[in-house]
Amino acid sequence: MLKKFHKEIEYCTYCPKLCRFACPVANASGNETQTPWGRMTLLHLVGEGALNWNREVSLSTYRCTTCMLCREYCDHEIEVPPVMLAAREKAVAERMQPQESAEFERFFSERHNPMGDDLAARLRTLLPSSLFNPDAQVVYFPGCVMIYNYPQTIKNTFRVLEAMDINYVACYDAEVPCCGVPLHDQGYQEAFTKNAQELGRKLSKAKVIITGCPSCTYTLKVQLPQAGVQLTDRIYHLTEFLAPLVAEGKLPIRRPYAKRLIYHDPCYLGRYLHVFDQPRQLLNEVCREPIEEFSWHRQKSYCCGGGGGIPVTNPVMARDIAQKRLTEVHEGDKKSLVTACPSCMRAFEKADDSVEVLDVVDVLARCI
Amino acid sequence: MTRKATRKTTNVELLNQLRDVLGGRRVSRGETDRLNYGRDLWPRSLLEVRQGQVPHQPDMIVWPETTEEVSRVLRICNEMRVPVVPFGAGSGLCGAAQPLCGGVVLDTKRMARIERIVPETQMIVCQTGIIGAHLENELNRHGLTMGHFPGSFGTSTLGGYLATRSAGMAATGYGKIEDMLISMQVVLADGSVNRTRTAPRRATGPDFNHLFLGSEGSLGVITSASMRAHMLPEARAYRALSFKKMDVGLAAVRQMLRLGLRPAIARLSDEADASTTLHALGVEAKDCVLLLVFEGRVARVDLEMKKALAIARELGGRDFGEATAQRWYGRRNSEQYRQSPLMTEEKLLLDTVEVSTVWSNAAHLYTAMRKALSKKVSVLGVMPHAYPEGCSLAFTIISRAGSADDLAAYDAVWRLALDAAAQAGGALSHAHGIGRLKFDRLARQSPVAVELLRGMKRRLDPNDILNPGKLAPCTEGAC
Repeated sequence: MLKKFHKEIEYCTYCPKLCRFACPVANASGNETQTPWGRMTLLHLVGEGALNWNREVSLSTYRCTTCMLCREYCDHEIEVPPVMLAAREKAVAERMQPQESAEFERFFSERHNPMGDDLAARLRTLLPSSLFNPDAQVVYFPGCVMIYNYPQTIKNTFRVLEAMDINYVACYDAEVPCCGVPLHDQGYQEAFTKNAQELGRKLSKAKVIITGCPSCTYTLKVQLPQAGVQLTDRIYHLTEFLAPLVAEGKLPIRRPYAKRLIYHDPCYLGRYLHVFDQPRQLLNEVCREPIEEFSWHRQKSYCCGGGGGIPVTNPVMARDIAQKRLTEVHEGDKKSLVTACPSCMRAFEKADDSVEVLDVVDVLARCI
Repeated sequence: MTRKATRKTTNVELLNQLRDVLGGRRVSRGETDRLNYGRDLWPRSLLEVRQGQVPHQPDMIVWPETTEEVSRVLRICNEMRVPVVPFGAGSGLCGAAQPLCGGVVLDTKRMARIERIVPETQMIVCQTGIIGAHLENELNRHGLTMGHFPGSFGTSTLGGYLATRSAGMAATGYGKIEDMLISMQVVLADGSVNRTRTAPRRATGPDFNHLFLGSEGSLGVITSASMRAHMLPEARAYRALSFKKMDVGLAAVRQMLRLGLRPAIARLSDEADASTTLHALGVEAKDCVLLLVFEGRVARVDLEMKKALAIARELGGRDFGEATAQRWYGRRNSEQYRQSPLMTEEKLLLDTVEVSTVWSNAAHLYTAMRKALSKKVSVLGVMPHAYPEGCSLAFTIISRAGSADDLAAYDAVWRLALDAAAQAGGALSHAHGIGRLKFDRLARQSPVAVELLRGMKRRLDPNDILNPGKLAPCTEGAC
């Protein structure tokens, strides 16, 4: 399971920790074991037979948000997250995963989602039935975090589409509501593959899939094919879909957005999917004030702490990471944080409820 | 020095007392943490870890967040005679952070708060666990810079810089860390707290800052510091020049500094370094290569570069222009990434022997060390930092790292290196400190100084709990 990552493990073990300052987990904890160097060193020592694979080693691999910022500061472009995810698979196989993770998997398997709720029913009460069409070719896939936590953002999405006279987008019915990334992040590859297959059947007719969640976009686009499930190759994040249309003037802007905003690049939208400009283009179309930037932004954006299953296994760490990111929001004039990912929104809101956190589409909806 | 109790203390009482102070989450005695806190970045430890060994492990690791917590931890450990090893980010190259006698590693990185940034006085006050890159990022947002960019910039702390008298890549222009320090707060072994006064200059007796600078955690734990910062440069100018011989290049830099020029960077590579390291970074100049970077106000930068080029021309220097030097500057940290592929694929180990001397001895020291080291290993020579009175010299040594006797061979090369440095009149360390690597040779070179150091240690840390075995040897058999 880990042998194919020999190069990654050795390179990080012998590296003078050059990405250390960028790792959100290492920065939040201050612990050397929770740096990419520390975690990889343990895997090296296990490989050398100097350390037994035990629960402590397993737990260390769950302390990675998979944000991939470490790669930005590695001349060798070593990717640590895939190694951690493979190690988590090993942890699951040997029943050494964190207790929270095991409970999470049981919970997920009951309802096909991490919230344990009937998300399809929630969605049906949220939107008019006319928006659900199982034969539609263009489908909006909201994702479980969005359905459960941000129903208003889903409503705003359809309000914006309607204002732009786009009536060919149907909402996915959410019978299998989750893309499965939470399972993947926790090391449950078998369950992830099963979820992927069911999802593949549900989405087989879609020619275009639009999601409101970058993790969903990446999972449907990249990780499902890796699990043997091929969907359409036209899968977009909502901001990718909207940006060219709004640039053409299709969004009727009745009142520009007047408050100050700072934009947070979600890791999966930015570093994984390379979508940096479209959210900014959309905001610039409707905002009176220039969008503010974090000092760590775009390719080098800092994590919100909501990725890699960290909120499940290490909620205090997730909060600490989000609070570090929010420091700059509190500086200077009062401002709201805008992003394009429900998991980021949730991470920030849980860390500090005094900050207004918005999705890009929420801002657009306020201007029509 | 007589130790009053055994070093091997992992008892429940200590754990409970530390947890009372810090809570359960900030005290660890986990196996994985003990392994990762058993080494710093001393290349010898890489050889050990390659063989699956981490010979010195602490019994516990603690993460205090305030000076008060550090004080309480030290009080407990002092009473129980438990060793405490202060730890920044573990980037030291001499083994100074190795817990030779076990005990408690006191990690300072949760003490990373910037207390004040005062742009008008160009001063900052912050806790010392802050990582260099984070501090610089914050300063830049206020229009300031520390001007301190060691190779370990992303994984070293302000406290580590102070405790090892670190130098950054731009030390020629901005000075070493001791030139930036204004005042500090130190917790002593018995838990008492001493703060030196924040004032630009003082004449109130000996400067206690200098007692703790370079003390490598053996005299106290530096928890907070006031530091001088600088305005972000308005302009930056780059140049690559070449000289036929190293001594001519050294003379050129000496003349530039004598004239009062202060390049941020003046880095002179010998032919071997130029044709390998610099070539790999896009510098295509030949012979010995001098990379110059001036920064600051536009008018001053222009004038200084003009004067520097005139000196170089007079000494026969060949100008390779701005673009070459700029290319190197853009990739200047890439050198740090070479260790991993060399270790993994070529079974080679990189290490750096860095020394310093006055200008009148610089060429001799360079020649003597190069000659001595070349008998055993491949050598790349650089003059990385220059000062009005002299310079540092750094020798990258490349040795084999794939057999059972690697450690013995490593030690032999270092004995050779330090003997050569001492015999040729060099200081044994310019900026990397002493740690485990150089103490024995230092003791032979400067016995009176080492005895003084022992005296101070006895006074400040009578139970020898602070980083035992560094800067003053442990009592034999005590650990």
